[in-house]
Amino acid sequence: MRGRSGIGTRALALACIVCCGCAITHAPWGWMGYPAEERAAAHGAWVALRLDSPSAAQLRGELIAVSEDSLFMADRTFHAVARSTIRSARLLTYNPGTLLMAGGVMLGTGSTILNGWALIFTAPMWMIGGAIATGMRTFEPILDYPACGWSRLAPFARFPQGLPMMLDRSSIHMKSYNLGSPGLEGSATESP
Amino acid sequence: MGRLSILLMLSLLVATAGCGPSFKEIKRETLTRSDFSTLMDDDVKALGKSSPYMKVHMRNGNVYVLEDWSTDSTRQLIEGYGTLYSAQRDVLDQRRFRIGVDSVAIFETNVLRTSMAGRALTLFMGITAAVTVACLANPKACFGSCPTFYVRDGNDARLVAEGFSASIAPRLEATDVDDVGRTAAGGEDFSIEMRNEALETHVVRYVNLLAAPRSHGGRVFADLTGRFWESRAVLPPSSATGPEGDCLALLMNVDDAERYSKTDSTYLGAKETVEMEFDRVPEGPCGLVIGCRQTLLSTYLLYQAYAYMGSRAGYWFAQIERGNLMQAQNPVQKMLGGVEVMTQDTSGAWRVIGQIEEYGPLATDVHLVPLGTLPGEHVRVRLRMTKGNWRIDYAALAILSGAVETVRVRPYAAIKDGRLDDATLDILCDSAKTLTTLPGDVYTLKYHLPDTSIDYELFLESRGYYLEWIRSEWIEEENPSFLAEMFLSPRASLTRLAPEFKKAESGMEDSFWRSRYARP
Repeated sequence: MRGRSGIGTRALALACIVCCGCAITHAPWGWMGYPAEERAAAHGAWVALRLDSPSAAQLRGELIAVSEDSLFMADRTFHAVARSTIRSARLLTYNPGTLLMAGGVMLGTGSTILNGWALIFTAPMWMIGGAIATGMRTFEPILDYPACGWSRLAPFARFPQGLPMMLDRSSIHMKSYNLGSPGLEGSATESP
Repeated sequence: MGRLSILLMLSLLVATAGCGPSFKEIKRETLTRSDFSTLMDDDVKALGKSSPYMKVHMRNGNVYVLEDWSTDSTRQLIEGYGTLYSAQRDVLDQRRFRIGVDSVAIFETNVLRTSMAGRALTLFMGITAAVTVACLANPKACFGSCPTFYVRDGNDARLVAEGFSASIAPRLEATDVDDVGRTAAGGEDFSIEMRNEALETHVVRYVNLLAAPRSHGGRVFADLTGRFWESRAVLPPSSATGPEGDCLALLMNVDDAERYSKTDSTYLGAKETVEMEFDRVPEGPCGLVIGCRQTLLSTYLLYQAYAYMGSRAGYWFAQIERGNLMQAQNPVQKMLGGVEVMTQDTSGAWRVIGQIEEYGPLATDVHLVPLGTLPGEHVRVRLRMTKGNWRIDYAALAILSGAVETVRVRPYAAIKDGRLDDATLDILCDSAKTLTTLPGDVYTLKYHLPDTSIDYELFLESRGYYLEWIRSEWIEEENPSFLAEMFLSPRASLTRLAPEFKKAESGMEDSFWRSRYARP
């Protein structure tokens, strides 16, 4: 009983460390590709805006372009937002693969069974270090405004050069994605 | 490596290989037309290598995603195989493109770099793999050989003895007496921690303390026949010389600074000698005190024998139980031998006076070899042993004052997992019963020394045997011919195994101690 409760406590502590230390992006599951995929992707990064205006407190979708005075984004429809009305913005530039990393940490922790008595060092190294690394990983693809200026966010837009002059704005929609659930395809609503 | 080990290692490697690219980060940069036109050839080459994809954004919102791109020397054209997307990001075309730089709005490059988190994970994987490989690559250096006994000095547990190392089967059950290296006053309590730190089943009949009364300033030593001798004076050697030269400093104290050598590269049974001199030796009976333990040569050869037994290990152990195959007849161990103690007779010829054969590579044990009364004040003693088979930590000449009777003290309490364990205590106090321990088991045994005003020198008396768990990686080496060779032609075995042992010898001690079993 003592052993089991000890393991349970340790697992709970590990879960707390991981959960408390993770960045929240509200990006739909699988919307952003892994870094290697994003190198060749033609769409913009996922952006979540918090506005000053109470009527449209939050906007989430694909970053389309950043200009001198406006930010353009799209969910089901195209939005032009005055930069002066944006209180904060969070950009997710790629999928950090947090679950993959957590799986790797679990596998790594399990593999220390091969380390003999040295597992008293290597297992905590994986559990504690792995939890911290996983938490860190969730922050790596994130750019936050105002901590980062617009000039750092602009290259991750669909049009890093700015919005094309003759563009039919009504034809621009957020990149579609498919979770295998038709009801969610193309939706800008975030996953829990 | 065992199948499970290989599977786990493969899983880890596959996971690493599969996840590796996912744990990168992107460094994205944009270049204007003028930036692009000023790129030097070397810059283009480096950029092409680090960013194999080039995104060419056009003024109308279209974008080319080019792979394996290149540019002409004047930077007027860029070409590559890729996909053209519309502003709505529909695919318009997919082929090799040549694009005039004049019509480009901006260039975009993406360089992948290993992230901090990825680096941390790689480091953890490297450490784990290194520890795993060190242990698995040398399975015959994995921690083993009998129960270990620890005494606590404050928070530190110090290994003081290993019990019945040669008792590898029920028929070979034996009593072992080890010098604990501690003294205690009568009436005091004394605790010993007994651990099973190897992949072995230990069967322990009893663990008693032998308390040898000693006078003030005296020492008590156990000889090879189980008798105890008090010594009022202990003389350090005035010189000690091995094949490597002066080794006196290593033999002066029981301090883990040991004198040892490497095995012979062609024959594992090759012998060597260490010669010691003692000056101003008083008249009277004396004995040579030696603190020593074995290297891992014997353990390696024992595990090699298990490996040759392979899947038929059970059959061979049954033969031992039937008395058809006695450990005492093991010719390989016989050829390796113990530490022979030699003195010169009146004609100057060297004669063997006694031999230390205490087995075990873990704890240094202190033994006394009585030499009798030697003529003259200047005494020369020679140790002869197999090269690379013994680690000598201490040597001295004890002037013996007489035999000593010890008091046998049984444990009054046994503690396991922080709780009193009366069942274990009952077993250890009844020599008709045996205690079976498994890897990771730890027992603390408490003793109360007789309530007298005298001091005691403490010895541990343990009896039992142990069964080595046959590792799957050993079974893969099953070879009845080589097993027969070990018994029928030990010299050939020790010659054949020499190169293989030499390959592992240098890292063996380290691997051995790192492979101790601890319950997670």
